[in-house]
Amino acid sequence: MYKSLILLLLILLTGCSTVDIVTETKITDVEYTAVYMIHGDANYTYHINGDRLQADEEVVEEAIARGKASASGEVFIFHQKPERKRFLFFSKKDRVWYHYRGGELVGKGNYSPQGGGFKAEAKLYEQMAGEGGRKMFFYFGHEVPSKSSFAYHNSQPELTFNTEIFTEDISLFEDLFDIVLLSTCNNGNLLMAAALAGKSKYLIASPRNLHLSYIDTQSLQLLEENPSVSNKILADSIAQRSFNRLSSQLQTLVTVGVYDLDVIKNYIDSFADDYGRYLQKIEQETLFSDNTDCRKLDIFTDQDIPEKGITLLFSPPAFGREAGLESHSAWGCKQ
Amino acid sequence: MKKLILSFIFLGLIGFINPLQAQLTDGHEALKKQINTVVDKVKEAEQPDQKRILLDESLTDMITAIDRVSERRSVSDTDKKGLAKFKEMLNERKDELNGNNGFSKVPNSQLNQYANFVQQDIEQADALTISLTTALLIIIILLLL
Repeated sequence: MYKSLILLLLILLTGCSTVDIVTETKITDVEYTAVYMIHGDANYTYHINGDRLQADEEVVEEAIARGKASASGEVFIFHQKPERKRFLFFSKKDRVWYHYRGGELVGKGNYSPQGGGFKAEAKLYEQMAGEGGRKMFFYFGHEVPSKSSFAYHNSQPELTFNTEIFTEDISLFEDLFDIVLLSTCNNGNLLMAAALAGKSKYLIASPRNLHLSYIDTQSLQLLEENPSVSNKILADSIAQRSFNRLSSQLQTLVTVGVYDLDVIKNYIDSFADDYGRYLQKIEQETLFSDNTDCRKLDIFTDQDIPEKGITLLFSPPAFGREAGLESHSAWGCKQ
Repeated sequence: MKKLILSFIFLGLIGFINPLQAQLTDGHEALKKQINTVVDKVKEAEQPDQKRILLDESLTDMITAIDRVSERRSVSDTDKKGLAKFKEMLNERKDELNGNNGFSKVPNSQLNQYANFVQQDIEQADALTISLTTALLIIIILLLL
């Protein structure tokens, strides 16, 4: 009887393990490294002309296309899928990673999360990433909240995720990124920009809601055509291309900003502090709400927040209270 | 031997519980599907009056369903706040459709675009941060209306 139970347990444990292809050698002559972190542990369904699309799956496809086109660079893709349990106890390792180098798939496997941020992903990255070259971190998901006010990961609601965890955990990948892209709602805000200053040279983000058809990264092709293209030209190209597509497809407000964090860090701290104190007072009433233009907040009426070092692309909605809006500042705030 | 067979059956059952629960409780998915069905119907309708009535009735039904779900004791305070925000958004869409509360009435020629706007606004906002079960309750009530 005991032998049978031990055999059964062995079968279960064996069934839970997966075989990964791990990249064995690091390289030093990589021109660029792009990390795609794609959250899929929530509802990411949207519709275009009646067709049902799954935002995270769409981005994984695009990231794989970028990986295959990365002749002179490498691309890591981490798909944070819902984590299930086999027989209530054993993790199924539902998250998937891919590693492309020189246009070839050189590694792929499954893993489980460690906490609500990117610790498990950072460990995998550390094992395999090449050194040198341009470093970029692209995040796709729902708004990274200032504080952990609701369950971010549907399958594991106990795991917390917020701006602090995001900015701490990306430092586990690299000390300094060239570009951080936040393809999320409302993260073109003072707290996120202040927290990323010193961790990235440029930030691409939206101060307001961003549609799930997301920011696209096809402009990475510029790096293949001209490896010395500047960070600013690359970031501007990613933003402009995405803005053109989003504003031609959508009836809603579209905002995409490029933030030069080396410039912004000279003035942002006091404004971020003021905004942080304001948020502590009002946050309970503003869960689930879209940002508004920070210029509308009483605390900033007497002191305009500078916009030096920022390019904001803006298109007003066709309907709603903001239809016909002529301008928008680069900063989004909760109201 | 009988105990061994029972152990297999027990483990087999609990192994299926999680995926089954996930399918049953994906209320967000059902809600988005419901909205997409309405948008499709609006676009298929030939007359502007039909389009406007379809949109108006759907928004009204959703607001009614939210009211009924909000009254339930089992719904958490956090979800009630989420529902209130969602209702506010739907009321504003209804006002604009009919030209109330300071809005200009959506012109007949733009009703298809307006249906797209309503759908995109809901799908892009993280407005559906209400729990899966609360979203599912809305769908159940919508089906009963």
